[in-house]
Amino acid sequence: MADRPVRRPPAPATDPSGDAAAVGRLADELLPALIARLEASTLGELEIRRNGWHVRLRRATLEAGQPEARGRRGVGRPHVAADQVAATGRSAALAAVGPGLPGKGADRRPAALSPAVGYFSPLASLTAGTAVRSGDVLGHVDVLGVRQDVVAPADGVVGRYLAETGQAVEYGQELVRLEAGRDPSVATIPAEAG
Amino acid sequence: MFERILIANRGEIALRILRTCRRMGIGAVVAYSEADRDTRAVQLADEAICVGPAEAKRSYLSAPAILSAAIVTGCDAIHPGYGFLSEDDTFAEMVRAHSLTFIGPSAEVLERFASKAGTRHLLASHGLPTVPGSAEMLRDDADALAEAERIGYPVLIKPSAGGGGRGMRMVRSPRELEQALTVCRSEARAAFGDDSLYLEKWLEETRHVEVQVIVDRYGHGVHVGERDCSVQRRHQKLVEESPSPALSPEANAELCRAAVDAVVAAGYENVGTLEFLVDQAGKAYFIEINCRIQVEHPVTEMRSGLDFVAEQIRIAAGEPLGYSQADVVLRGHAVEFRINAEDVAHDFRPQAGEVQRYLAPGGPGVRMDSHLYPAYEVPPFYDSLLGKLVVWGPDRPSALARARGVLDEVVLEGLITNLDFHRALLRNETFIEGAFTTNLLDRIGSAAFVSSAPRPQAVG
Repeated sequence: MADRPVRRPPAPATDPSGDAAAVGRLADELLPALIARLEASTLGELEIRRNGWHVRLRRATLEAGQPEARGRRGVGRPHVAADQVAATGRSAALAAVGPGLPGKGADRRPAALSPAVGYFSPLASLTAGTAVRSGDVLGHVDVLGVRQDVVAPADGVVGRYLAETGQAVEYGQELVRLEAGRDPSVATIPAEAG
Repeated sequence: MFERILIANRGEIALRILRTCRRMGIGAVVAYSEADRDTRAVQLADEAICVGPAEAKRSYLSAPAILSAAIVTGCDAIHPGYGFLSEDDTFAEMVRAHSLTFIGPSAEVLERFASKAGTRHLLASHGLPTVPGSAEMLRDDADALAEAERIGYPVLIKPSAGGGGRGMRMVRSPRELEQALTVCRSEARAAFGDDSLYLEKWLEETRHVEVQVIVDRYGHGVHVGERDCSVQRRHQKLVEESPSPALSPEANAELCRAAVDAVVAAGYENVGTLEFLVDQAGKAYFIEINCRIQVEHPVTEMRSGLDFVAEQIRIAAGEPLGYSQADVVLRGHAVEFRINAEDVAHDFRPQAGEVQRYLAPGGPGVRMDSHLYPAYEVPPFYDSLLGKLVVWGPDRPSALARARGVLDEVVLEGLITNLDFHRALLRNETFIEGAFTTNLLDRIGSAAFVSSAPRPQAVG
């Protein structure tokens, strides 16, 4: 389908009193739409005011030291889904996903699961053998430009990656295998750069 | 035309959409929640993608999850089915902002018809009669009492958003009205995130008649006849049929013509349904429009030979309608029975659990749209629809005779269903005469209704 002229998003059914539902709707629906709008443009910043709401989006500039995955997404465009689909080869990327729970003989060792449908990027500072604690962030899944944390479900040591950087992943998919840690207290993950 | 469609729904309608994608040579990706891994559409899809947990709010109702699933699987369009995101104009706008196509009316059209009160005004201005009611949304309780006094009791309290009977109450006095307003507001807020209410005059002994329309983007529209959905329990449809036995063929045709003329003039597009209440004098009042495929669309498919999912896809892809009203030929009589996992004897309590045995009926003029199979586990998180049995006959008596036969043919074990209710209905004189009204079942009591029916014979 060809691109059509961009229209202003419809006003959310909210009042300025700021009740939780309105905030939720803003975060879940309006923000992703605005992010898409920003990406489709050459603008660096986008601002919208309505009913007392005031939202400003600024394009992130890529800097040295950011995870490699961010750089792969094309110069000056933080995240353009269609480009990435082509770049990652969507069918191949999802071929291993398929419906159905892991088989009965599946690995019982814990794994960090995908919190959402999107594109996976592991934390750059993380390598196999790094000791992690339950709740540590191991990477992100990019959902329409919004990053959601991939979290360690238990203490342990980072084992095998079950998804590649930039791979399309589904909700609940195993992303990072954790091995039993000898002493999880000795090492922690350095904070992500950028 | 689209290459790959994301089906953002579940159950029988996901399977229904998938079947049309297959026929049209379009790839089908099914988005499913963790509770629906084993559903039939997931098994049959070209690809399936888990979008979230069982909770609908985080899966089927999550616009970012659905849209992200469409993008990562390389789809160029999203079919929302019914319910969930199917009439959400913000979602439709998000889909378009990502250069994908929402299969349904455009965001502008959904927005125009989003408010029931606004739609009544709009279509009244294009010649459709409406039920007397409050001119605006109710400001507060005092406003509600004043409006109810003006309209005259009994009145029906209705939420501006949503459907399916939630947030609706009929009240006969100011005292009842005051009590019900609080309940309706909280129900509407919980179900639709919007607690605005309005009032309508309650019409006693009405029929529910709806008109199916198809309108392309270029202002060409046809109606595909009407459906009578008067067999309801607390505003939930149980049986639908076409043509409506409530009106004469001439009156039905006139209603359908008025409906399609009004929505075309009002700028509607894609497949839609206009709902009317018909009073005992045969006067029809427009009540609301459904901007999506309806559960009961197969009734009209059986009479017209059209595929409404295919029509939705074609129109969303920008194709012209390609035929005119004279080309739409409606034959015979069709009836749909909604088979639900619910216990009629215990206030229609929803049931969940494993389907132990399942055998669908068959034969000429019989269609069973169902996602069931033996050993399928019906999850407790969603609606209780198990399938839709649709029968066709050259006329109403032959359709009902066929229905009696095939209902006794259905084998569905492991869950309590409402099959006995349908068997009872087919032996009920009011229904056989075609004189069922929307509140009849609630007046008699469904349990009493079923217990009066002869037991079906055991089927091997």
